[in-house]
Amino acid sequence: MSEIIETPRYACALGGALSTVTAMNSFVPIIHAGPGCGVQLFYGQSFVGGYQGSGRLGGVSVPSTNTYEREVVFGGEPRLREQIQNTIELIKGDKYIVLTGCTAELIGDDVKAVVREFEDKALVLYAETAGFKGSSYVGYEIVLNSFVDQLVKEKPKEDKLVNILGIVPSQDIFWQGNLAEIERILNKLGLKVNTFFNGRSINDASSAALNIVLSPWVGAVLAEKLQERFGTPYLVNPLPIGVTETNSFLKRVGAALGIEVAEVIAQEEEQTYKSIEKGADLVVDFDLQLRFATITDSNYGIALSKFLVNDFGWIPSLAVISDDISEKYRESIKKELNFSPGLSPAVVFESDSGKIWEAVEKEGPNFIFGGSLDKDLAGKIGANRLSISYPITDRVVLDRGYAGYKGAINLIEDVLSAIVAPL
Amino acid sequence: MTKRKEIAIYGKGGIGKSTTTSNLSVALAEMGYKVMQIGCDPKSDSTNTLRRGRFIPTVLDTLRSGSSDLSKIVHEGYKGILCVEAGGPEPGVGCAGRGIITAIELLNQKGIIEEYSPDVVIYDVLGDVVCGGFAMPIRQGVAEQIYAVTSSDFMSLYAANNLFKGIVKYANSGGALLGGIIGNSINKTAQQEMINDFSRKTGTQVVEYVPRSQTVTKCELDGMTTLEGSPKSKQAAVYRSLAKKIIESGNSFVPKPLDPEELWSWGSTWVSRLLGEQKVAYEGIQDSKGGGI
Ligand SMILES: Nc1ncnc2c1ncn2[C@@H]1O[C@H](COP(=O)(O)OP(=O)(O)O)[C@@H](O)[C@H]1O
Ligand code: SF4
Ligand SMILES: [Mg+2]
Repeated sequence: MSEIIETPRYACALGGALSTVTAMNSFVPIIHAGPGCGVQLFYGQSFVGGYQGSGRLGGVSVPSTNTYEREVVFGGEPRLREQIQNTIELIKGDKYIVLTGCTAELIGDDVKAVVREFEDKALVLYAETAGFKGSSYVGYEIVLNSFVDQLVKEKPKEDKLVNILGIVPSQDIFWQGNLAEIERILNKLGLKVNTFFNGRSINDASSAALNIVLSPWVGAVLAEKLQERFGTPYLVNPLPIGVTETNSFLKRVGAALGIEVAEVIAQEEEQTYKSIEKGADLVVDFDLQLRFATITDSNYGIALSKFLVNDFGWIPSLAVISDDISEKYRESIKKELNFSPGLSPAVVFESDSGKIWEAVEKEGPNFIFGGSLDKDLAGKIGANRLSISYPITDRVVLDRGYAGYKGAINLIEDVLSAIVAPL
Repeated sequence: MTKRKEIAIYGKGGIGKSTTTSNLSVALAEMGYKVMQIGCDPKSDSTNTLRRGRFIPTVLDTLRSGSSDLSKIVHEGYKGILCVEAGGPEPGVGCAGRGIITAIELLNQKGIIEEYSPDVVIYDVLGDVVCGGFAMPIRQGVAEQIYAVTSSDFMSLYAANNLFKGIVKYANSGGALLGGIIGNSINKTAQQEMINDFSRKTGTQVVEYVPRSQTVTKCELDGMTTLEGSPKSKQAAVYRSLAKKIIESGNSFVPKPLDPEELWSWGSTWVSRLLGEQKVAYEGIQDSKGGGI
């Protein structure tokens, strides 16, 4: 059943949950797991995630129960109780969430019961995020689901408020920039945006008039649940990059909320083309119409391919989808990657880097959008490359983003820079 | 004796593993062997009848207290038998399976067995082999022979069959093999025949049939094995015979466990036959007492 995956491109469920909670910057995470989880997930997500630091409640300062053999044999509940108590005393913040790792869930510690003992002292939530439940994407879904189950209550709707789901902090290394751009554009439409990471609270998730899932699958189940519980409609729209896709995204949002978008679209379009034009000479003079391959999660695979094909005129050869997605989403992802005849990339679902490199080498593209892992591959086949997906060690990423109108300009800059870099 | 003999006794809970093991240990000690009995059941009561019913600190107690001192976990019992209890978590918390692995690892790391250098080591293991932990003593380098204690009760044979599956799994990687089956609480011929049939079908061998006996209960109430409390009894003789066979036997089998359906249909034929006999027996009792139940 199981096979060894050579250098996969995601962390475990605990990792996704941890980066999500850390990004919220309002809940103190308490890891209930073995001593290595917190540290290795920090280095595994921060240092190879564009060197983003940990913030106030993240990184090596995250409290952890560090369960050893004694806890495994006799149960880790007493250790967890003690750790929650100490954390409440030491780290100010009236909100805490216990994230369980593999060991705690293997032995079946009753985390819910321990957490309930603190009812009168502080708000302590919990999420069962054992690494064996899946990737960081799954961890993001589990932890948000816990918030919805344990915290979010029915509230009056605000007709101009939307939630953004589907972007996993750290796993999407450009999450901050991407969310900022999406927020900027939606603000221009007169909407208020709750990304859960922009100072607004997940507590208000039920007030939104619309849930926007910015991924082909991550967060979709949660949006469905929010619809059932609070009657909030949702739309699933993978990350938009560039004029064509962002226009279409805004039109969908406008249609869902009954607001006019034409004027904003026209303004943004003009701005964007003005900037892009400046690069046009280079592209034309050097005949930079390249065949590209993407080695990214499904979200970036779709977003990059659409932008590069529709707005940039490049030719897709191969889309490797590396986020280990369930069978049921695969057909719809293939459909998203279906362009006019002769212009559709081969689509491969694969998390194993060894197999990925084989597939890309066979295709022999001129440009690779992947992670830092793919450096040698690009050298071997003489392709240019840009690190855009986890893990990234050859770039420092603070708030750069590729989404929306502004993101497209960043992307063109970075792609063309990669090409002229040796000059 | 040149080489140390290490065996493990498995069987369903409450089937008589500890009773049988402790009597076996005494019988071997009577024959002049230096015996160490290691209880691998979180109940920690395996060696109680070797020490007048007293409980002792367990291997895992040292882990619980954070100490690494294992010097106090070997206790001499009747006839100098070296008693060790692995210990484990309270029911319903933690991981008892991991507990057994940890306890055996600790004993090895600290060289406890080497230090006392017994001729025979007997592991008394809680028996449904539900996870890897309970299979630890089967794995390479722990015991070399396994004995399955079973009654003619279907569930107990079911557990023995599961044990056989565990043995098969590790047989190719140097794990322990089956020494044989010990029938316990066997008073009727039909019960013997049933276990015999089971051993035939699984390609194994019955080492001994131990009858159900009040002597066992009486001695247990006094905190003693049958061999200590009633050394001249018929029951004591059975345990001595068992000990002799085990120490002399070099036989080892790779059992052929039955698949669940096969076991089920085989079992139901036998159970109806046994129930038939029981009914006759009940009626006999009713007649002699002259009243209903
Ligand atoms: N042959 C026997 N005759 C009478 N009682 C027995 C016999 N074997 C076991 N018992 C009794 O059955 C009970 C359970 O036995 P024990 O050895 O503790 O089981 P296990 O170790 O398999 O859980 C004990 O009270 C024991 O005295
Ligand atoms: S996979 Fe399990 S053990 Fe590893 S870091 Fe994640 S939670 Fe911890
Ligand atoms: Mg016992």
